Amino acid sequence: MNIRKFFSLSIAFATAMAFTACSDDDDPKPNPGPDPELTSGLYVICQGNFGSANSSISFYDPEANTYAGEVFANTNKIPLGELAQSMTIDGDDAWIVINNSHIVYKTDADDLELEGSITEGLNSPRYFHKVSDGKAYITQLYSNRIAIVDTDKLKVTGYIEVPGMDVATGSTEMMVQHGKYVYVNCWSYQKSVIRIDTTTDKVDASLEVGLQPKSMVMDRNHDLWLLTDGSYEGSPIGHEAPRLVKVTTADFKVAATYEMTMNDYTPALAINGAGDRLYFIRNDVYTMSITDKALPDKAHIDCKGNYYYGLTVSPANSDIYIADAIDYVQPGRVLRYNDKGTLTQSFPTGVAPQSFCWYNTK
Amino acid sequence: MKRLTLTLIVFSAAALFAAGQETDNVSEPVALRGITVATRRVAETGRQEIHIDSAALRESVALSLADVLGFNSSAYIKHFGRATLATVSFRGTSPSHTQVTWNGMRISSPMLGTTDFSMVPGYFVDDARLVHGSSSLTETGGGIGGLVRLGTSARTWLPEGFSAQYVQGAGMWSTFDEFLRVGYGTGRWRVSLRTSYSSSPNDFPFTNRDKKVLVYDDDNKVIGSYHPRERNRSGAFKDFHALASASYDAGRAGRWSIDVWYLSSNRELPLLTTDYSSNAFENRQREQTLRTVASWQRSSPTMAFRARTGYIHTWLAYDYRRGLGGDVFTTLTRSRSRVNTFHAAAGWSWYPFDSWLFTADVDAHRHNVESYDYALGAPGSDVIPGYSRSRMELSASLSAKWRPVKRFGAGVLLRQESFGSKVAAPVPALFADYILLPSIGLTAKASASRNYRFPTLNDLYTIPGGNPDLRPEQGWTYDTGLSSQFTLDGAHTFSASAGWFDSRITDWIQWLPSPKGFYVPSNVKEVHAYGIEAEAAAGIVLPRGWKLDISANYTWSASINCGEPVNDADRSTGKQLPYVPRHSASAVLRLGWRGWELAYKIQAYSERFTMSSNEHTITGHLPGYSLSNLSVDRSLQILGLLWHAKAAINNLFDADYRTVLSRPMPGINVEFFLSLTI
Repeated sequence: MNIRKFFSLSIAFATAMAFTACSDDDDPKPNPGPDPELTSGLYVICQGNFGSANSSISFYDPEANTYAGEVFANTNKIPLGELAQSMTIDGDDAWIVINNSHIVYKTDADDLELEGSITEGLNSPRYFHKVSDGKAYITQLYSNRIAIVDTDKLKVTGYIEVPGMDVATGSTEMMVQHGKYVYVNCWSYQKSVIRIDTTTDKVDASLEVGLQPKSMVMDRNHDLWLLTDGSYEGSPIGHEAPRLVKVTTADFKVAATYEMTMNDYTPALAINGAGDRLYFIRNDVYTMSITDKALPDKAHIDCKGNYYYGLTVSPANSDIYIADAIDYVQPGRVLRYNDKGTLTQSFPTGVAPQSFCWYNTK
Repeated sequence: MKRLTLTLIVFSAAALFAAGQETDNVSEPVALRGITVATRRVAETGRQEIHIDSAALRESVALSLADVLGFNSSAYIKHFGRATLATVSFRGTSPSHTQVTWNGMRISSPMLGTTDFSMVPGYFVDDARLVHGSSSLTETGGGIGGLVRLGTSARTWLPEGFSAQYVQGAGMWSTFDEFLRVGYGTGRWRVSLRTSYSSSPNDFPFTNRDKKVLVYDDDNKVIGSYHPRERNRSGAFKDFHALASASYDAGRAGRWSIDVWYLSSNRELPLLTTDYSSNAFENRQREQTLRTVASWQRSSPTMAFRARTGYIHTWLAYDYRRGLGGDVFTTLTRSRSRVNTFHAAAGWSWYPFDSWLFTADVDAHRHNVESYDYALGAPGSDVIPGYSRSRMELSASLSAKWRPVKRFGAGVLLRQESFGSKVAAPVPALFADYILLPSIGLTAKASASRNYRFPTLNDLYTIPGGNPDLRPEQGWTYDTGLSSQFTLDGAHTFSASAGWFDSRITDWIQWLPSPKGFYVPSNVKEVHAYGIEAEAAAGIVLPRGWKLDISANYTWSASINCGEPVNDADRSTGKQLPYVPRHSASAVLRLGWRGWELAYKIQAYSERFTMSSNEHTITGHLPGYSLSNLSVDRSLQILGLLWHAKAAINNLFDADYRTVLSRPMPGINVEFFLSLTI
């Protein structure tokens, strides 16, 4: 073989290899617009990846069907942080909890412009709840303490210790309030819901509901509904089938328990605006009235084998929004269904969308 | 960045067509009108590798092998920070697709499948080679990207009699490096001991562009903001290494050697730039590892026998504690792992004729691993999350290589491996080369092979998250390329190579978050990795005692996810894998004159995506960067002793760069070294 022939064959081989490569889009696009007015709609909290500081917040206007990505980063020109967990709106303020950045941002709810932050005295913050004027609670992971916060001075002023909870495996999560009581589900390596008397800032009752109650809502009767995930095989606290549990707040007792199947996937529970219908992911999306006496047999939305990550229901029209993390390392999406369970829209989000926050939506 | 990339391509190409490679792999020089060309041994048929020059390994006591490879190859070095985890990957694969051997024994963690190259001092390595793709199968399986082959051998460099060297280094941020070597050699014996100790608070300053400090007026209204100037938090390190080597040449009874390498490391793990915590905390990794390899080899004109045994013990502790106020801490992680690896290997080579070589090799690694997180034991429960597992890994290979004429050689290899009770399908590999232009040693090479990688023990068994149903990753690799190496007028050395590689890997294992709060591995992707590798080097002797050495490496690598989309919204199909740069390049220029040496080094990577869908959002990608180092070295003979004084400027142009998202890297900094050799 002479050298000219060899080069010809080499080029032909290289060209053939290049053409057998699967299609490769060389020109990834930035998040598409248009940007909506952030006056009312749905904030989507995108968790991002552990160790990557790529969490973000997206916004969706259901009326105009428009969305915006990376709202916080675009407004403030800094990344949101590592593992965004939750967002709570109180009046004009949006409080954003970034778990592994150990910070709670206070921002303007209209555009998430930074107004301040709480960093001192937080261990691993998860959720923010405004208790009364000037006072809020922040729950934490890897801690047996809930932080009490002065929302004017942005300082932790004290802690609520959870009796009997080990520090290393401690976990307090979502909060809902009825009257002077705040109820908190205790998720990671826990199995209880606790009750805090806000006049004394002390836990005055605790109730076992099942292994790892992950999400909690309050219905129109001020009763609690909790969805457990059952923990995992090999866990020190054991492993069981997930369950949906109703707790009556009048007497703080378990009123009903609905057992699911071992290893069912149960990441999220939501309730409609009227507070009379539950929606939850149990592999697929199910819905049931708060007066039903058994779990529904038939799924409301078939998830087709996808493991969706979060769920919310519009307080205005009961449209259902499901967070799809896709492969967890690319921007996810939110699927919007009407109350009949028919897909109507979808819009892109940041990486690993997992929780929601409604703004100015009645 | 594009201009820089273009410059490096042009530089590489120019050197490629002007140049050749160092002469380590060559034999039987042939002189043609002032040009000395090396012909190829039958054992090297089709082999594609880069040999890291010993001058690069010995350049500075402060350099880890990650630093050395970063400036002397186009492998992608993923640094999580200064003196923090650094992994090596090449050909568009992941770090776990890079096998690493030390004196023939695999040293990648059986738990993670990776090697932390920041824990390998360059001064402890006598021979380092990057063996690419199919060629790695001649030594071990599982190197889908290739193999980093490390060797220590006192015999290769230790002179007869007593010798010693002491190096003291001092750099910014109270960084100190000490190195001591003593050795003794006789006709049959070589004995040496090397030790090194490096320490630093590692609290380098940087402007944190991921944070904003708000400025308030008297009414508590925000009136301004700025990016704070911060210091790297929790980056301190103390690393100690000791390496004892002994070699005995027993003549006809063969050559015996033993190497014992002990490392003790105590490192804090730096915080991300987005971490605002003000509470006291401890984020620390400690490691103690003992590696031992004893080997024997005996050669005759027609046969060679070799045998090896080894042992690795690793104790690894990771503690993450956070303060709750006062002296009260909560322990988030208290992970303890113990790994005991026993290794044995034997091999045989037979040259029945000059043109034939047959080899047979077999090796075994048995891993016993215990890994638990004691922070997660629930009150009242005796269950501790973790696992205790053993696995026997067996590998055997047979090969035949044939070089009927000097210009052509071909080879075939068959490797069979088993992991635990699972036996892999046989792995074939084919190699060929042909000398196109003997006058400049221009050789065409090609190879093709199957390869695979078994899941690591963490992939399979870690709790929570381990997935015992994982399948091995597997695929096919093809290479073709040209290389040339020759010496001009007996003084100037030139070498160059360029090649195309193409791999398809199915059942790519990826760890993904799960809604239960932990990561879970699964076989999710099919990846097509292909591209071009090129390297060139020239050593030119100039008039009046000047000497110039130039080397450059460049890789263009597409690493494309070709798997089925997760669902209809999955935009990752057809996209470059996260943290795989398309372009990576490095170059080194050394100019020497009468005991002086000026060295300029540069490494560059194009942008890397952090998301599988290749987004250009704020956190979706990392811009490309280039990093330059400059050093001046002066050697002097004083009172019969050899002294070296050296000054080095790292990150010469004060590049503000990140290798991994939100992981700070140091700006311009200076180090000084003084070395005394007896």
